[in-house]
Amino acid sequence: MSDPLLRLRNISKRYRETQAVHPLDLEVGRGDFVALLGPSGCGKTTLLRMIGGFLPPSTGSIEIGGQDVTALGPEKRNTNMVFQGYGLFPHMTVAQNIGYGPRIAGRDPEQIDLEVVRMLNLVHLGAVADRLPAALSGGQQQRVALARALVMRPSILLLDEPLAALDLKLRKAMQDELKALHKAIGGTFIFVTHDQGEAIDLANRIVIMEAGRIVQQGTPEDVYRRPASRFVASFVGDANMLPAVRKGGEVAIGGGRLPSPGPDGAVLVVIRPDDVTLGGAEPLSLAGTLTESRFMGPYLRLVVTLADGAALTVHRPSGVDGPALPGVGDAIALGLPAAACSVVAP
Amino acid sequence: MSLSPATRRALGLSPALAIFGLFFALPMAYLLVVTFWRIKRYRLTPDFTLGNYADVFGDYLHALGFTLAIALTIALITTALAFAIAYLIRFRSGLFGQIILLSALATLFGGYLVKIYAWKAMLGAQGSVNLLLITLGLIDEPISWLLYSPAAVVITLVHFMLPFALLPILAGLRGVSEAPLEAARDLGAKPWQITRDIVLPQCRGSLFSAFSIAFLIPAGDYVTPRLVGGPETFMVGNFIENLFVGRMNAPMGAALAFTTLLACGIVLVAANWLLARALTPKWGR
Repeated sequence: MSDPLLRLRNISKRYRETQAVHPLDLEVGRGDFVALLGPSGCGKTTLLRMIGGFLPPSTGSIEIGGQDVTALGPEKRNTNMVFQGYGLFPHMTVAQNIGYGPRIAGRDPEQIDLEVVRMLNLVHLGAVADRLPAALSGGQQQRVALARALVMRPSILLLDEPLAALDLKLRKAMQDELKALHKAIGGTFIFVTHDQGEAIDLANRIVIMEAGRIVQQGTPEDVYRRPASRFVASFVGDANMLPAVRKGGEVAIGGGRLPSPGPDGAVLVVIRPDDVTLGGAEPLSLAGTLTESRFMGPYLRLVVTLADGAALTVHRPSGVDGPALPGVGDAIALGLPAAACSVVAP
Repeated sequence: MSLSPATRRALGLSPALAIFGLFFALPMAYLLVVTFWRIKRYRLTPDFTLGNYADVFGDYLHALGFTLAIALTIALITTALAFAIAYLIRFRSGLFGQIILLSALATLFGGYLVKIYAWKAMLGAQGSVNLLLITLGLIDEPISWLLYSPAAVVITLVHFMLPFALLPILAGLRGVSEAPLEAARDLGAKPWQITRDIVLPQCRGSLFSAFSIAFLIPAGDYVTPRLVGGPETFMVGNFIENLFVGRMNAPMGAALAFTTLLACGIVLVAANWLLARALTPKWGR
């Protein structure tokens, strides 16, 4: 990245005995929508809070727009946060919540009114402007929190598990709304999530964290198609992992060889359930017995047990016509397209 | 036997209601009736006269005003101090806050009279406060108005009321969650703006309870002014006691008591209104 908006150098956080975040570097470009993805306790929220200025890092420096902000508190940073649980001011109306930041900044009252109205329209809350937060639904509260942060025109908007408190249907709707909002205002968003589906849907860049370290970053397609480790493969989407052996830069699998540079030794071949083909037409193929077939709505979930006892999951679109599937208990041949296979350390 | 929830609730409350009615509401009602009676040849005689109230307004209005002013001073100082201490305990001092809280509560073990005598010893001409000030070279001779003055009553009662005001405010502050405070800071608010705009409005109820307790008890107190107030400091409680016990004039004592009660009620309603006005955000829509 030639001119990143946010640059973290050697950032870490240590609490007495525990290293919450190991020293790491991260760059975020202007206009990016970045997901910090990982299981709970991986350090993603700690990292976000350090970017926002709520936690001082133990080592390293934080630059925003070329300015070193490491020593500045959140009130002096041009970042704004949408908190988990929103943190709305319970005694202020929706409009007062949104107007609080501009008012503290000493902006002109008429200007504030205009900006509040603009924000209310942006997040579709004009009708509830005079209500208190307690009288709003979860989705509406979420949008107030968004508007309250966005009215400050932050150079980076930080979101801490923004959709975790919403039910599934509302979450999908808010996901679309967040995406539209990002497009409409063209800002830079960084959000923390433990939901890989949310990360893939929203972000144009995913940073995956495990135990205080960044283990992989890239586009959603990158991390899904080319996982860098066993952890990433299992955390992002469903994955089949087949044990194999690498020798001389090739991995022997499915009666063929998969080119894979690296040291000799035991490896895992990763392939997604929807990439496995039926029938033995591929150069790399496996034979097994169909042991389970379940209708999942949009797809069928097949479980194939191989000769060595390993089980492979295969997804087939449920709506398409095709060659009839063998019945449960019958022999079945599977193809592994070489381009869809990745090799990771066991 | 099954009872409806409403009956159960009424039954559960009935002992408390009975005590309240028998030992508070009934005597108060009797006392209210007595305010319209008069004393004839040293005997309490039923009557319907407003003369007692007229005498109260003629003779005791000054004492009532003085008492309300002292009680108001005590309540304001106590509430402000209690808020500052509760704020330290809740937001600033971590484990040390528990020690502050414990030491504040520990003073509750000392009796009311013990505290008055302690202050009497400390505030006197030979007391530790004057001794300290002289040792530090801040004054040349003892300050005489520390004891036997309205200031002594204020100091003593502020100390006595502090734990009672601290507890409700601390409970109120514990109900203020962290995220809105962080959000305000994120939006650029300085600590004093966060306290004014976010913290205080959210514990308005507990501020008012603390203020009410710290106002009502001093307004009715007659022991502290007698012991540390000196010959000039008479509060309304002293006059009421004197009317009942010294002059055996129950109707007038009762009339003064009810006038005081009404005045205190007015002060509290006004205080609540002012507090609401000051702490409700008015700007914007």
